[in-house]
Amino acid sequence: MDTTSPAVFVNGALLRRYIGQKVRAVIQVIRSEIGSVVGKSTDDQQIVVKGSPQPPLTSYLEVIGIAESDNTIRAEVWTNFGDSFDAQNYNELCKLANGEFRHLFI
Amino acid sequence: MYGGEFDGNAAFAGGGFMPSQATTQANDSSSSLKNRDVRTLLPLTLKQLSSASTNGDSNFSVDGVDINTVAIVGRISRMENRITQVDFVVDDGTGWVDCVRWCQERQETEEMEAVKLGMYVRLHGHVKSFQGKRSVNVFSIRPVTDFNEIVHHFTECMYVHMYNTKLRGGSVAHGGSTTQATATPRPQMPYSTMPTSAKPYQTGPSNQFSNQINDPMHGVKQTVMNYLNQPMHLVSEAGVHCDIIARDLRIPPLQVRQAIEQLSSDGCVYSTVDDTCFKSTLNA
Repeated sequence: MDTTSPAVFVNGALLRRYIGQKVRAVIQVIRSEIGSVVGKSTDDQQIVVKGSPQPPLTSYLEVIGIAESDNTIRAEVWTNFGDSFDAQNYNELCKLANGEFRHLFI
Repeated sequence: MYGGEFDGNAAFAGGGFMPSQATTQANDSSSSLKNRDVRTLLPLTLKQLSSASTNGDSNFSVDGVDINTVAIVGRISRMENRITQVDFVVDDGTGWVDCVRWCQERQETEEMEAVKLGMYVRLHGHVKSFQGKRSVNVFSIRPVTDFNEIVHHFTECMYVHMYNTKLRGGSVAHGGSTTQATATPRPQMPYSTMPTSAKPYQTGPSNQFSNQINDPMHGVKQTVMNYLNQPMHLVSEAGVHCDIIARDLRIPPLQVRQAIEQLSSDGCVYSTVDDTCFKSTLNA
């Protein structure tokens, strides 16, 4: 795993700022396909995550990987975040970590 | 031996519990806070930790606060079990740091066995620097099971950063002299409550509280309180009957009772022999 660059907290809207860079996002799984997982970002946008996570998957999933496009992430690391994760709080964290408190994160 | 002046500063200076007055006054204001700071547990992002300023091998500071023990939440991205210790790397997405957990006691070994590569963990440890490389000597580590803890940790990092840069920075600048900062040390960590004004009245009759101007009962309460704080009423075991207060102060009994009720719930007065006699809590 590449530990040299930070993995920025992103939601759907922030993803496009980091194309080609490493990001982390929490998605609510909609469906698993072969070679990808379709999910909803914490700000309710549809995101496709490429890769094959180890089943079973919980409803919330954190992915760390490279932002490939406005709505695609190529995942390197998958972590089950359980079924009762507060997506709204995470979404606020994404905004703060890319805004006022950016310097603590990136 | 006790006949002379008791020098509290000298007596307690060695104990390590009370910051010596002499020390705090001699140095600049940042060091008056130092005594408190060295005992804190500071939540940090690893970006903050790696950009912490240093003036030696083991002195780091972030936002003007000395770092001693830190709280980190991140993912274990590398791990090596050795005979006496476990070496691992924690990555929290903002950076990474080398960690070492010495395992001598059985409990330490068990704690470390619960932690696996790729897991999110919360750890507390001491930051050190060896040959220019920063690492954390971990004394407590556990896997994160509720992932809201990750969000919480980063939120806390932002809060503490804001607290140390804005709130506390402001108070030091405002205080100007060290004496003020020393007299009312600001809580440095989020776990302490913010300083609030003392409870109304308790410090004596002359106190004024601007926020009570809008309280219609304020005048009556103050008058009743002044009355009950008179020395002759303070020494009386039985307190004073409501009706006597009303008669002496020439205030309608109903108003006196209302005032007493509020003062009682504020903890300023208490009933004595029955529900109609009251006494001030001052010097109680």
